Amino acid sequence: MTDTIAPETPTQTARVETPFRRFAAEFFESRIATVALCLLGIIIVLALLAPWITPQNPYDLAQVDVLDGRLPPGSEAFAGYTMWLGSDGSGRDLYSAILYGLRISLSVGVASGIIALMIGMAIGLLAAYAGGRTETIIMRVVDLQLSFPAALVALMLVAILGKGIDKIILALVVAQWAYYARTVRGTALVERNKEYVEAAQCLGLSRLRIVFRHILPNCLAPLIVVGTVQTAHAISLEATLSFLGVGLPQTEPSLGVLIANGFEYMLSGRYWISVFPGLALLLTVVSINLVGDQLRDVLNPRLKK
Amino acid sequence: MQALLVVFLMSVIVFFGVNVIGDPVHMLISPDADQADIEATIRRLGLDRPIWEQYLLFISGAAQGNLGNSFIFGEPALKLILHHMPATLELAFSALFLAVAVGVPLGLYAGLYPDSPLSKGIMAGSILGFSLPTFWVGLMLIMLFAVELGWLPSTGRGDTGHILGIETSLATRDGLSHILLPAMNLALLKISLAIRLTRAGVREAMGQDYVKYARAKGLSTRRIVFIHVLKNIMIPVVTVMGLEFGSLIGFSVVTESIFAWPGMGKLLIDAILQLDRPVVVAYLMIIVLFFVLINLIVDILYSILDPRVRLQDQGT
Amino acid sequence: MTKVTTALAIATSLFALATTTASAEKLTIGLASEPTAMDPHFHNLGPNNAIAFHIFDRLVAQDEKQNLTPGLAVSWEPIDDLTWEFKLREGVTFHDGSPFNADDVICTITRAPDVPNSPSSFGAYLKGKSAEKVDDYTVHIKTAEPYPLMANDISTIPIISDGAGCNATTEEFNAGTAAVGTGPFKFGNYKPGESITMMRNDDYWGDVPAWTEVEFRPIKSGPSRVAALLAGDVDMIAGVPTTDITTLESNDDIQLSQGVSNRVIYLHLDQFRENSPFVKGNDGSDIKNPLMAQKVRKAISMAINRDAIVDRVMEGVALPAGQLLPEGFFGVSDKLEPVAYDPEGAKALLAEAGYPDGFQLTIHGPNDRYINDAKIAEAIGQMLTRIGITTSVETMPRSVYFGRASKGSPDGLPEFSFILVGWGAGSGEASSPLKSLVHTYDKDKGFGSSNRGRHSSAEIDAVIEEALRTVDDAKRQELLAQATEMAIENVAIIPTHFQVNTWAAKKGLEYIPRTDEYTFATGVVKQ
Repeated sequence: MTDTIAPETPTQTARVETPFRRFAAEFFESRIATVALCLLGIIIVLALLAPWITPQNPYDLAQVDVLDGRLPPGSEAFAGYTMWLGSDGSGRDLYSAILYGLRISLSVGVASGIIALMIGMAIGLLAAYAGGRTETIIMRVVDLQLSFPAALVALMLVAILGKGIDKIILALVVAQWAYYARTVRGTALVERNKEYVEAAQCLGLSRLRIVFRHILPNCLAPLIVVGTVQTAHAISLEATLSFLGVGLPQTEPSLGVLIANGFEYMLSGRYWISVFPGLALLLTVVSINLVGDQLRDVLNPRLKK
Repeated sequence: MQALLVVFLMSVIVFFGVNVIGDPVHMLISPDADQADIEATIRRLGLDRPIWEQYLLFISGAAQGNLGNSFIFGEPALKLILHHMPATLELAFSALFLAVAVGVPLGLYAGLYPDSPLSKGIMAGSILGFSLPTFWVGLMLIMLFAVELGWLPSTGRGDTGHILGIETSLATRDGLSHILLPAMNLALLKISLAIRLTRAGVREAMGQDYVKYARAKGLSTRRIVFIHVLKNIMIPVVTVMGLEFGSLIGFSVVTESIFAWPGMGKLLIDAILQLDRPVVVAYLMIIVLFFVLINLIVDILYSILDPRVRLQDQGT
Repeated sequence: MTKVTTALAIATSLFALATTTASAEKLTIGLASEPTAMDPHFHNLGPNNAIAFHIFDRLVAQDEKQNLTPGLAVSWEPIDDLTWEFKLREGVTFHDGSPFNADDVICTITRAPDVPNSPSSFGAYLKGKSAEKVDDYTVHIKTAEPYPLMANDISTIPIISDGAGCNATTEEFNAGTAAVGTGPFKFGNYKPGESITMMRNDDYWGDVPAWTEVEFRPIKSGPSRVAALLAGDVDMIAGVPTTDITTLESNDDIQLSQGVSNRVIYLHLDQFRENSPFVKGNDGSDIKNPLMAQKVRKAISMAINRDAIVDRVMEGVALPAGQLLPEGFFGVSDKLEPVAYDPEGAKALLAEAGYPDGFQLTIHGPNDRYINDAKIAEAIGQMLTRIGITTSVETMPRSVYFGRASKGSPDGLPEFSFILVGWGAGSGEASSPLKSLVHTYDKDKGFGSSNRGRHSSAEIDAVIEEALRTVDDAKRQELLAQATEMAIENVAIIPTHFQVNTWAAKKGLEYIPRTDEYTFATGVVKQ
């Protein structure tokens, strides 16, 4: 199998290698995007390391004491450590709660993003490659789905499914797959008519092989752009649903749940309970969006001079 | 026809879906009720029948325009939703208007002078607008304009008047002051979108041949921008904003619950939280029809703005 | 921060000034929950009843402490074991001018239990009772057995007009055409989700209210409601969130009123299953249900730091509970104190019961029903974990919770092992919680309908049933207190605290707090 495509491999790698360097150089041209990328990296690392760098596991009731409730930033907890960001109404250290919340928010966003991407990609490729009736029907469904706002689709789904992390991921996947499908199909259509595909067909390569080895890699750039934006969107949507009381349960406090809990304290002068989780959410979503924005500028050939 | 099929499929999914979770009887019944009362209520709501029978009843009712009675209000669900619809529509229209009125000029500027600091500020602002959670902004707006400055009322819908026979709060001063904050809240996301769309459109258009040609002909920049470029970029902007109208209605759920705006979004979220199944199902039926309608309107608008589409249609 | 508060103070005081000069007699109230109809018999639900009692009078009214006072009936008494006689007030007219008499009472009692589409009817209060007109101003109500709570039950039923209301549909009430009562206010306008307005009834038979017009606005979100008050959009709000009480207290332009309610928050423990689904051994294996043992239940009660719940979770706005109703209500025991916090004693008791290392337990509770419910469940989880009962907490919306808690297991029994619930005694006396929460579950007799722990004791049942047959007040009080003491001794139920309700009004107004949690425009007084 491998030897049949041997003549093509060198050109393939050459094409991938240099654009990546150029891409990186172009990406880091923007100072804002560079800062955003670093910030995003830090956020992800913090979220991953949460259990090792926080003084408290906010899920372990043995470590949470209601007598520590509503302490302002910098107070000392009963157990001796300092709560740099204060504590919430149940006595959770907000710094710990935010990092654990980030884990949940990010995993919901990324998991739903990846699943939606896989499904959307498969359907989009199928549509582009099958053509004809199949394509028409698939694209009808995609258009139909896209004509509904994602927020509403997700809201209806959680209304049907109920609360829970698995359910919200499912709802977000259903709300998002069509974006990926449309993107993939659009790019794949362009690629399908290009000479190298025809050449590959002439060489007698299997359809599947052409799709996965040749068409798919070319769809990656727009997919990455859509993926970053959609992930940010998913995180923010999950927060909104949780805020409305239909997203994640209290026992899985994502940033959205933390903000919703803090919402009660908005007028009480205990700003830290909702402000800090709000800031964390804001920083995360903004940095993802900034990165996505720069990616779009760099990867979109039409805007290049 | 396709739309009907979709509506039908949705009705099956949603009907069976909402009937799986929770138990509406325990939401409704007074805690004082004894076991016999609870059973009487279950019978009165028809919840003692098997689910497929409930569905058949629902479908036969729906065929005659009856989407069932709300468990909570005892009134037809359709009537409830239609009653709450004007408030949501006026909110969504106001937000759409704000989005275009604010977003397009800003986007135009950012597209014409991409390197000016102001443009960079506008673009950074638009990212922020994209990223800020709606509910958070809503609360900040209340805190700032209603509580601290005291300029605008915090919640509710004001007095309503009549414009062209439609009862709307856009007709009175009090109504306008009430709608401003929620409309601003709802519009925020769309303002960002309008900015970005317009900017992208302008940047693309400015590089195109007809603009170069117009410049060569000696037309003033103002004329080029306002007559030629704007006309061209308005097509995608109108299309997208039109499609976004639906999303405004979807997102109004959030805004309405924060600002206690008596629209159908709030009705929906209350119905979901209180398991008022008939209302949830009816809302979805209506919203599907609604989107079909929006797509139709956008298509028509599109053909008005872009003569090529119209010509094609006449040709076939 | 000071700058903000001054700006805020100036803003609110300016607004207050503006409104008082403009229309001194109009009152706007922000409500936490919305009524579902203007038909007073459609939905037996707190918010509905509160609104209905403005427009419609009852034969027997309840004052702010839920003591029975004369309403449209001037007197009531049992004339024999099975018959109560109500003497009606003469010279009262409905809002449409028609006179009030016995026919209105008879038709109300016929309509109230049987309104089409009613999600929760008034049937429970009228079951087994038949009313007959003796003359225009005398009504007899008969029961099959002696029934002491007649006046309490009748005090829940709003009287509608024979002419305008008895044959009307709920929609006609919502439109206002049928909403004709004898109450202090007349129906004005009803916009669902938006507002309810009513006008003063200048011909009211009682004290004519101070307000010419009252508008109720449902604002469900707590912070939005507080913001509306601070912004001057409403004159008063009900259901002030506990989180905002401290700030509002220090605000000179806001007047708070607080009163303990008839609602107790309590824990029910699975006492009917040998293997309870949410109780496990420390290794996660099935064990014999330890909650069956009274010592274990007692240890759990001792492990709960009620003062910490009141002080930290409820921000001081609650009272620690040692029984089912707070002091001052009919039928409470004067011997019971809240169980003292004693973690060491609890551990010792657990060891004595054969669980020196504790066990695993899940506490289930709602997260949108009672004040701070999810946080209370969490705090209790923390406290139990500290005495060795490793507790996990699961809270859910009430739409899911109550169904599962009542009959969520595959065989239609209560699903959970250890639950947090609340109970408001609508009748304002102790038989209400005893009958529903403590008495053995008995579908046929209608007892124990909310006894989700299924505690069952024949001795307690006998005392409760005897109390419900005893018409003599002093004797009944004694029996109810005795039943309560027995229930607490058995740890049939673990009360944690009584809810305290808070209202906030702008300066110059004050609300007289009510134990039944109702918000009445007539209870708002100018200082």
